[in-house]
Amino acid sequence: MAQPTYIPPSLHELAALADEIWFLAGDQSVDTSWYTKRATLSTIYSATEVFMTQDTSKNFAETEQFLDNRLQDLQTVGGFMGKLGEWVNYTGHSTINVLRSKGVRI
Amino acid sequence: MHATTRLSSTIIGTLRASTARATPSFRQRCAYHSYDYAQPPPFSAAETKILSSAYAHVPDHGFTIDALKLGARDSGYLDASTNLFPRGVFDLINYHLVTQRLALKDSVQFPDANDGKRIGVGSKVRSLTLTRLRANEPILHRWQEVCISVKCNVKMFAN
Repeated sequence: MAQPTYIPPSLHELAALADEIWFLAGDQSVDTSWYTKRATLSTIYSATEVFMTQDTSKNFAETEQFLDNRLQDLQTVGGFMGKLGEWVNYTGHSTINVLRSKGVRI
Repeated sequence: MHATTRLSSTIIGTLRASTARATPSFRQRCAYHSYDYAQPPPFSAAETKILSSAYAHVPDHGFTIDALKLGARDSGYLDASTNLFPRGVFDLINYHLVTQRLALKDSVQFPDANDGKRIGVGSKVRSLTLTRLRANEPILHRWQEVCISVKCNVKMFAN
């Protein structure tokens, strides 16, 4: 894992782990969140793993706390991104509709 | 019109030919989860034997070529049989990653939704992630070495 040659297989394994976790959790999304969920879980997992190697607390309580905080962040950001997507979608459609009503052929 | 049909049929023909050729290798590294087909084991029998014995030496010797050699010796192979693993130590690390990932399926069992409270996907993801992290526990002091060497190399790579 330490050599640059082994970075791609390591990342592949990380992606496989994130996929496995979402699959076992019974996630059935088929939209773009399929990708974002796996990508965010990969980053959270690797960050927590590094945190854990430095953790000296009893029964890894701090690692657990760290993971919970990251998942909390994810929910906040995820909600924001969802709303942002909705807003872009709505604004885009209304812009096109206004232009169409002005006789622009779109 | 005729030309288009011919073109599309040629394309479909090419696709069909390429899928027919690609099928065996695709099946080997199945990129999706299937309920109907069992996944092939990730390592061959000899590899599993050596790697699992070597893995038992990791807490004492770390992810090193020494652990691999001891593993080979324990399972009755010559030291030279570590040549079975061209990627050397990385194959041992990879063994840890792959087996722990596949072990998740059996180590975490969620109760059925029927009896009482339903568990949300979020808390399932949380407990699965924690289980996977705890699987690093026996080799954590050695895992730290792996993480440090990765950090050093990435830094060197970036500079």
